[in-house]
Amino acid sequence: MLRTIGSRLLQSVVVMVGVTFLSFAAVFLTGNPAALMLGEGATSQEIAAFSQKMGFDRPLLVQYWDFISRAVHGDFGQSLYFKESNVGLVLDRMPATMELAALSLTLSLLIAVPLGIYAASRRNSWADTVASGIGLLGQATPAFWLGLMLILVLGVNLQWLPVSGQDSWRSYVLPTITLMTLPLSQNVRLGRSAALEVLGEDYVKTARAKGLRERVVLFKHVLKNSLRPVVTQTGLQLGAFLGGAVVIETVFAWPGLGSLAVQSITTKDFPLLQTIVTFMALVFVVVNLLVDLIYAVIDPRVRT
Amino acid sequence: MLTVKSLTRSLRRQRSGAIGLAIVSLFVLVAVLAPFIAPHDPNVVALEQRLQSPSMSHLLGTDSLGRDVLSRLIYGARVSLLVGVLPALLSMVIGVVAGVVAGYFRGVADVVIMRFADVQLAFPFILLALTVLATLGGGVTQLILVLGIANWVSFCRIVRGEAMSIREREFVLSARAIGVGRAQILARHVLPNVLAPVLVVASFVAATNILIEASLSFLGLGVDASTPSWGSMLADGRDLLQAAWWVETFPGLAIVVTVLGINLFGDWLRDYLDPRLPTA
Repeated sequence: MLRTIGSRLLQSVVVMVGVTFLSFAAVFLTGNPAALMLGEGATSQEIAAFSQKMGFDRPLLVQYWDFISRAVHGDFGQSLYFKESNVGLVLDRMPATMELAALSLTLSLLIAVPLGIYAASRRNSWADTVASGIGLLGQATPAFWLGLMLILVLGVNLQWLPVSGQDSWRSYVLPTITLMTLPLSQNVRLGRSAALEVLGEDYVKTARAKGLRERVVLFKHVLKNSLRPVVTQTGLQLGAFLGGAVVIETVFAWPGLGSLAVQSITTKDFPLLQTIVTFMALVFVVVNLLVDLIYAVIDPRVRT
Repeated sequence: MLTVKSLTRSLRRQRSGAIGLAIVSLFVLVAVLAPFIAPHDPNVVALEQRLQSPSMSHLLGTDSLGRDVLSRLIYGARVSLLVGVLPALLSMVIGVVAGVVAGYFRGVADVVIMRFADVQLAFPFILLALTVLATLGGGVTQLILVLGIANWVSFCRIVRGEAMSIREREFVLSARAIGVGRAQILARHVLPNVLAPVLVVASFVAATNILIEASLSFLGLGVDASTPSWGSMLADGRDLLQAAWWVETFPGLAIVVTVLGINLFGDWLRDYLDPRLPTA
């Protein structure tokens, strides 16, 4: 048990070091980070002065070490564009992203898992067709485009729902539906195939044979055992999900980390972008660590 | 056995596979024949004809510069084909080589490659792609490289597993015993066995690549706006939602249909090439 936790912790640290190093080193790919951040209008004196100020002339590893040792104390420096603390900016925007992410992931699980199980228990029924349809279409649709289409129809033409900002519960509807598309379609497919597998297990046959009602069988046995692959997958897909949030937040002008990331890209504010990437990676690592640890505690088969 | 007859029989049984194959073929044909079938030049600016709604002369309307949307869609298929398939091939080559080295030769190489794979699987990769593309600037070449490096792990895992099981099988042991070289064993016995699952993964990776191109180009980090691509068209149409719905709607539909087609085709391919695999 302790060994499992220890090796998972170590793996998380390796991932964090890898992500931060790559996002840190990426800025040096062009060879002249100062020129990159100042943009085309800068004179060579300005570039040299800025390079000196930021310490870009030092060896890359020394700079990275400096970055890391300040980062662990919560110091990510100042944003070039906003002239404020990077951590402050990120923490300001984090709640909006987390709210939306939690809402759409929870809803996607609440819809996908029962639908997947129901579809598996009645193969080739209408529910099965709906489930397969959602799975196939959801994975083929660029979510941000779906968001724009929802804006077009429900926001612009019918004027039922607000299309941007975060004012009332009504502003949550369209972004949540949009962000939900990908996890919903993946979870329906996964839930269905997990349930199909579980339905073939001996304990399900036993439960049926001893006369349990079908509802009880599905609810008690199949649901519990289909949930694990779905939740694990949701954790692993969190990276892609957060990446999708970057685009979707921009579409809805949602005041979260994603739209801040796009802003930092367009303003060439790389210190801010690095801070955002680091925090998103941290969320990803912590959530996956929690998922694994929870399973290690509740499921004895995981403790190897 | 792989025969034309068994292919057609399988496609007739799994109709979604036939639909997928039809969509994929149409997509490839459109991309290849773009100059011959596009009704207009995709890049000719005609400001006096800007934002025209769909009509007989412009079946899918025109955009804010008066360019023909249908012609841009047709040429955009070329970019999607390129950005979908080339990175998938690149990932395939990296993944197959890494997988063979890890699975067949084992040892230190195996440990190093698999640790690397673990870390990459745990990455929120799109975030790094954003950083790299923001630094280097967008463009088809950059996109192909970034996407190509993104997906090698799925290939590597499959090939490694297969290589590990094959190296202990009797026909390989006897080939080794009679002095057949490593290169020949790999070419004769290992590679043909991994071909089927590798092709299946490649189709799904290509579909994902098309979707990622759309997102990155939409953010202005992918294909630059002058090249007609489905992603850059979506970026153009965003501010025209109210004025000209067709500019935003049709490229999105093209993506949905194409990706759906590739996924249906991939599902069928998996069932056809390897009936042992579970059906999703």
